Amino acid sequence: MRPTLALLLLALLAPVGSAAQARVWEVNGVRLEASQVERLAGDIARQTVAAVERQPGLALRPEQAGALESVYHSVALDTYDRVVSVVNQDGLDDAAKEAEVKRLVIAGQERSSGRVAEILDPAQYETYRAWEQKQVESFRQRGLWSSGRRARRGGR
Amino acid sequence: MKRALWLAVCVMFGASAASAEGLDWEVEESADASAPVQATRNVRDGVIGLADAFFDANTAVFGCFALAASQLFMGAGDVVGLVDDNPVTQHVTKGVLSKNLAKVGYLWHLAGAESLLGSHGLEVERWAASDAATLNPLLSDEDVAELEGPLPLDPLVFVEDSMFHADAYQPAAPLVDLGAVVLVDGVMRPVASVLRIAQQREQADALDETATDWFKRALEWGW
Repeated sequence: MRPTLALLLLALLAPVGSAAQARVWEVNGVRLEASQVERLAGDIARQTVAAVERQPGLALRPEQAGALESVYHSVALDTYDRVVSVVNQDGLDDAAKEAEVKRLVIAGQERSSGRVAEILDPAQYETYRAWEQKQVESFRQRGLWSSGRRARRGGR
Repeated sequence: MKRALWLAVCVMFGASAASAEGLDWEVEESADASAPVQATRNVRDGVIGLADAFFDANTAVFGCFALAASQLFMGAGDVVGLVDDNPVTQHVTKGVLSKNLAKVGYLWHLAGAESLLGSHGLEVERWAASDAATLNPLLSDEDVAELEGPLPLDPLVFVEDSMFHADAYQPAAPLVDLGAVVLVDGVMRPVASVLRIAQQREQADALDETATDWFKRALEWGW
């Protein structure tokens, strides 16, 4: 009895973790817990910086790379939050969802671009912006889920 | 004793007012529950975490052996291929035995890779990474592949038309993965669970996250 009471007492008195709502994504029955969401956003941000660094004429300084990663990380979390809520809406058909998701992604890209402009030098940003607009235009043209990148990669 | 246990059970299940959505087994729990409820949840999650680490370790150890078996079959396939699939004999025997050994090697590889990834939730992350990266206009197909990680390998790595299938071999990988299982599931996650039971939830979460990061890096090592 004593150990049980002690345990309950400990439970009552012990510090309790943050009550803040953890960011969890669930789409089509696939659920990502908060730590997985965080890792995914971090990985995508790092990979995006790697993609930027590959562009000719965009030699990033280490502090610029770090700042870009931070921007991409926060924009990715924010954009994917909105995308997940759109994809999970019952009232929208696939075409409407796809259009809305594209709009959200492009809006997110524009938000990140504004912050990237503050990080890069003007000459760097000019190169970045030209490449970004080309990429966004290509994104605008392609299908997301039906005939998009995944289909071009042979369904992997 | 009975009353205390009943009280604990009530706190765990009743006060959380968990609402299951349809037949989904994921249960939503309110984040602003009272301190006793959260403390009891920590104890529950810690105990479940210990069991989870044990079962995940089992699945992952199977994955390590499957990856090793895959390379043994591939090795046997390449050796037999010298006899039944060389420039002279390929017109007669058509490499029937070596190709089958390679196929079995691939199946073992697939089982191993899926077990290792799936045991720690990394398979789901791989799917999600692929879908999420598709929504990033700045990422190329190569970037998406990079995010998905190297495992499982492409089947062509095992059955492409060459005498020696070098990309299918990574002899040290199963040992590295086994070491990661021992460290992550045998030490780090159990310690995290104990911390959770002791109400150190934030430290437990951080340790769990580090453990999964290390496991992921170990899986990607060498491939």
